[in-house]
Amino acid sequence: MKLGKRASLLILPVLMLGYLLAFAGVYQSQRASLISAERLLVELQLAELADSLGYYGNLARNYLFLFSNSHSFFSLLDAEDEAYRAMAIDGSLEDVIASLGLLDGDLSVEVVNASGAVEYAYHRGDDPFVETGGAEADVVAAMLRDGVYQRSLVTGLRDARVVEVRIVDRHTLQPPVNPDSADTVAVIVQVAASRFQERIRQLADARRQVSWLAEAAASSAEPGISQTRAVGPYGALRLEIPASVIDGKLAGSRAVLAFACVLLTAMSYIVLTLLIRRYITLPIRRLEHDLSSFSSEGRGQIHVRETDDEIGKLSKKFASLYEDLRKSYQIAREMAERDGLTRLYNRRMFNHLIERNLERARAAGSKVALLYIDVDNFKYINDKFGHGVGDELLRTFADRMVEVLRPGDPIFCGRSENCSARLAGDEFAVILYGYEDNDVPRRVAERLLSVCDSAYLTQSARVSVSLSIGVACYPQDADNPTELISSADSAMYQAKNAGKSQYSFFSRELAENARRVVEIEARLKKLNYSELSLKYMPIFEAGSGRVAGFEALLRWDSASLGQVSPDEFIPVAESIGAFRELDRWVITHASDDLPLLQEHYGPEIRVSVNISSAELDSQEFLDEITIMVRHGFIRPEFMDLEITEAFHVNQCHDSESILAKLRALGFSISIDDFGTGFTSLVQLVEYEIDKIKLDRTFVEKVLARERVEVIASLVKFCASQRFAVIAEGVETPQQAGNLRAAGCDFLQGYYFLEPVGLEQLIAPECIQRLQAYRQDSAPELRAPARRPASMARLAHPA
Amino acid sequence: MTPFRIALSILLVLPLRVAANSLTLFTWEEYLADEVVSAWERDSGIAIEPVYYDGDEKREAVLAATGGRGFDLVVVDAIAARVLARNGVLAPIPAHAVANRSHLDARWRDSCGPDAVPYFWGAVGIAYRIDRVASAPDSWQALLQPAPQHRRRVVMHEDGIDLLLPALLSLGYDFDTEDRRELRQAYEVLKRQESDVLSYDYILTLARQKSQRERVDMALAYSGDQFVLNELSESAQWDFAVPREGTAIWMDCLAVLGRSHKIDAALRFIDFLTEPANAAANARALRVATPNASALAMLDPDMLEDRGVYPDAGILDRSRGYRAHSDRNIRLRSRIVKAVIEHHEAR
Repeated sequence: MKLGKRASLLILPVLMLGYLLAFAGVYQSQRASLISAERLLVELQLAELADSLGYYGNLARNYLFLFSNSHSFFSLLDAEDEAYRAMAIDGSLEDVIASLGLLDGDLSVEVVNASGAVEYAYHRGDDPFVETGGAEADVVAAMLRDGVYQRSLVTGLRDARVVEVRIVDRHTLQPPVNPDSADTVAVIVQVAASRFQERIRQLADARRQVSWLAEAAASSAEPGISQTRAVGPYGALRLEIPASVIDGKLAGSRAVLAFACVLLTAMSYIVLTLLIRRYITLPIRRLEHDLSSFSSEGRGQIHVRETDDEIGKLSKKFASLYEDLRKSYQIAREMAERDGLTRLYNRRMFNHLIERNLERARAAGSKVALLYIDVDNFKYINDKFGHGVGDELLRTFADRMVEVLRPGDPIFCGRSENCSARLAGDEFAVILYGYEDNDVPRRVAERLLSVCDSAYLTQSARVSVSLSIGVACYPQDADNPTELISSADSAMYQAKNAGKSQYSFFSRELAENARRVVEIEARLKKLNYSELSLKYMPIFEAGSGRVAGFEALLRWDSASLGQVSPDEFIPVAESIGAFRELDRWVITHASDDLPLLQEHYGPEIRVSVNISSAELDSQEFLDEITIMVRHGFIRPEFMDLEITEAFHVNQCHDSESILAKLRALGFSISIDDFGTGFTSLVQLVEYEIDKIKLDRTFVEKVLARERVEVIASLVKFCASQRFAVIAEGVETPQQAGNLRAAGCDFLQGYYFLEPVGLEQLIAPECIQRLQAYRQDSAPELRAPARRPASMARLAHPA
Repeated sequence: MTPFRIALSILLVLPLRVAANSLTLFTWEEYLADEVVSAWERDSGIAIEPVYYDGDEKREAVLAATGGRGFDLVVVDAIAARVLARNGVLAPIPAHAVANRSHLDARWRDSCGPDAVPYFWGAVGIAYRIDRVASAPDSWQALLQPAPQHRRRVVMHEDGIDLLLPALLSLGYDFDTEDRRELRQAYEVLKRQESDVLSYDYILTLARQKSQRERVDMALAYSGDQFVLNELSESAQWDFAVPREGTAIWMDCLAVLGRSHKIDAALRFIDFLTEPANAAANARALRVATPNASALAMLDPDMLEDRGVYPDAGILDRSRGYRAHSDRNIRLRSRIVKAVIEHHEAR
């Protein structure tokens, strides 16, 4: 139930009860005053009536006195002839009567003798034809019987007349001595109490009841108001207001009061309801409305009411509560959306943002660029300086990045937006939206690179970092978020491959490469081994110039992809775990070819196979190879296992033990590509290895700078460790000579022979040619071989 | 002055008069020619002291109040003469006492009863202003429903018989009727007429006041009154008409009061007045019709031709004298008159 309604429901009964009691009180007092007023009125009216009747009584007595003392009355009593009386005396008597002249109503005077005959009758009234006479004969008779000679009476209320009767002796005009005398005459004067009558009629109209009591009786206790009053010698009057009249008046009063009560209740109710609504429920509802609008919209503001009442306080309380909630919400949101370290958007938000921006761009026909940023060598920095410094570095970088990506910066040219995110440890991304100029992404990338121009000064170290940035743009480079991200990622890898502090735009070529990698991966997964073949490259003993062995090189001539170089497919094979099958295949086939090679090049001929360094991670390889050795499929004493130096350092203990076990089986272990990787000297000391193969580029650079003594000392170091040294990439006779002079044990390179298949290798011309490199052979006969770029075994990324 | 007061004042002054050597005559005004009085006083040495009344009821009231004491002679109408005589108010007139009775017209000779002698007779009619009333009123309606220009210019006479007379006659009833229904109708007529009436005083009494006299166009009057009015107004504006519905012929009588101490002188005065020459002189002076046959012969023919004095035979045929009324009738009529006058006074 709403507050307003509840207030209304509470007010109404209280109001009703209150007014009901008040009006009941008013009614009671009205009733009391009405009754007392009516009582007073009755008293007054009764007094008035009595006075009026008294007046007529006096009048009647006056008439009687005047009449009975007039000369004409004597004449009347003297005269006996009726005609004479009528003609001569009546007129005089009438004059006597008329002379008093006080009366406005009917008057009659009669003279009745002892025998009851009317001797004189006078009547005055409106109608001269009214005959009177003989009235009150019984009264006269009763008076004579009782010996009463003077009497006053009132005839009643219906025809109110005051009657005065006087009985005298005809001759003496005194009260008769003997009531039975024939000479008595009664003079009867009747006065119509017209005003009294009129008053009674008025009172009757006013619903009062007037009654005439011959004797003054005690007033009886009846409902209503009643009073009795004695009137002179005549009797008593009673005036009464029936209870019904009082009730009627009170009913009217009740109706008015009830109406007023209802009206006042209704009006008070309306006013109170309005006031409560205006000053209590409305502010609350407004507050509630404010609150509900936040909850639904999440934004808005509480109108803090500056009143000192509870609602003001409540609204302040709510406002502060809301502020707390809003802060909490923002913190939570930031935690959900932002990276804790850099305050940039996190990967989840980044995914969302890129989706959203692409949708917007699709709808608006605008452009989006994604810059994928990788901090070069961050892992190294972390390792070197510790995580604290790494984190600080990332944070500083993020701050600088945000700073250079300020919206409104001239590089953005107009209404463009951007947002930056941290995707993983050292990976960042910037989304650019709404730019016009296609050059903007490039400018941004350059600006970002410039951020790292100066070294980062952290609390504990001065660190130089560089970035690799890949850029992909919508709509030209990708159509959906996944594609855009992968395109930028690809571009970033390209940049990274191109060296430090580079940015790279995604290109068709890049896409092509990427697709080719995917293709290779797919083909490798269901490899047709018939497409594989082995080519061999001779390794010469530096001192003698004899062929000491061959390095078996895997070739893949795919039906769908054509020639796929190992640089391309070996990393893919390693990434999908297909390397083991390949290694098995190489080892098996090299072992199979070995007898034939020994047959043609001598029984001491060895074969080298490259195995993936990942083989050193598991016992499995060791077990398999052990079985193959035990069964005589492989002859380890003629086999070198070449491992790139870039094997996983952190697993060096397992690798070491596996290397040791392989050696124990009879294999020689070579470290391949030495000079460009990160193989530490400690490893060289600790590992059970037999040979070191100097990397082709290393050899090339050293020789190009005529620093052959580097190689010499390296060879000395290896000799001290009893490692044999093989120099790869020998391309010229000078190189061969220099390397020989530097003390290298073995030489290998295109100078001698490009890799060739087994068939070709055992052909007599080839055998002949290789034997020509013996120290005694003429050097001019050595024909240099062209070497394809793709043969660079170490070119693939780590 | 109310009649009652008149009576009281008369009672007070009477003792002074009694002692004088004179006869007190209770009569209408202008009802005894001065030359006739002079002749009597010269002959007899007894003065005539007139006391006037202006209405029958008033006269009766005074006589009843005094019993006739203080008066020697009275002029009284024929009906009253009989009632008064019966009640001993009048002194009996011995057969020989008024010898001139023999000159009276046989038609009137006994109309006053044994104890009174006919004096004058006349008709009840309408006295009117010649200059204001276009033609002589020939109907009682002229009086009862006066033309607009005469409203409030009509005077009636407060008299139990004569006031009702025009109404009863115009209704076609007997003016002496005792029929209550007829009387009631007459009463209604009078009530209707009341608003047009200037006064109910006898015209001759009213005419004493010049201002009132001038306001009167018509009046209920007795034949002969027109001459008094002309005299009072010193003009010849007034004339007298008897309506065609007929009228009452009145007879006034001379009587001696029983309580008079000068009954003989009084009887002699009556005889004197009945003597034809005196009667003729009296009638000539007063221009009232005399019942005296011998006197009639002495009068001028033009006077006899005057219809205002002697109504023509046709009207007389339709007219007659008054009859005596019962006491009830007297009382009822008295009340009717009073009621009409009360109505008038209430206005």
